[in-house]
Amino acid sequence: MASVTQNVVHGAAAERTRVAQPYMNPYLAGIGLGLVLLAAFVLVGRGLGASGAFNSTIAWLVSLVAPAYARSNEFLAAYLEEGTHPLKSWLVFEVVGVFVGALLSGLLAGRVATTVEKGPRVSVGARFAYAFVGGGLMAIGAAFARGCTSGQALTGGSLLNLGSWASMMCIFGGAYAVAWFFRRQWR
Amino acid sequence: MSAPFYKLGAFGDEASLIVAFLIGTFFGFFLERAGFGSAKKLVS
Repeated sequence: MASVTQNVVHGAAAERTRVAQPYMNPYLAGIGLGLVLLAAFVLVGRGLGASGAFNSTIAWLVSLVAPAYARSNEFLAAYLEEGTHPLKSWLVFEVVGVFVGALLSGLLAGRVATTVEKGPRVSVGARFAYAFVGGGLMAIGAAFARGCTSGQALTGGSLLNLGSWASMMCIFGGAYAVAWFFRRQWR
Repeated sequence: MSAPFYKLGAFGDEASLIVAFLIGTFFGFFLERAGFGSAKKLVS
């Protein structure tokens, strides 16, 4: 009898580990993000970012293939400093941490799985194409705005930069404006 | 106590990269907790 009870208890525990935990209250997560941003300001004197790390990576990759072009290109040259590896930058290390932290959170919550999240009527190839085009547009927008949702909206917004707030409003406004046209992708 | 610690010389360039990694880890942790790891969650 005892072993049966034990099996049931162990079985229930195993079931719990398989079921993904619910997400955090968004307001609490927002406070957490704000405190992380505050810690970055206090410890290092700079905010959070993301697109800058990808710019460094692109500049490094181009410098490997076409070093003369990379140095002559104003945008790429800004990420290439003599005597320092382009990847040895604050934002690159921060973004590597983002991947590790997100993986840690997903593992602890039982949310890590190999899957392609998509609507029932969209093929995997189409989903990847949408994601690729959307990511490309976001990257172009981030280059125009000189920052993405992390650098402009989160960091610049917290410093009450007018340009950052304009970027944030345009990002959300743009997303809401086109969401209607793409909503069938998820239904 | 004055801040930022890095700019006041409390730690050097190499240590600032470790701090960047740790700050990023917490950043990613809270983003995932909020649902940023799931496109489905973000559009729902």
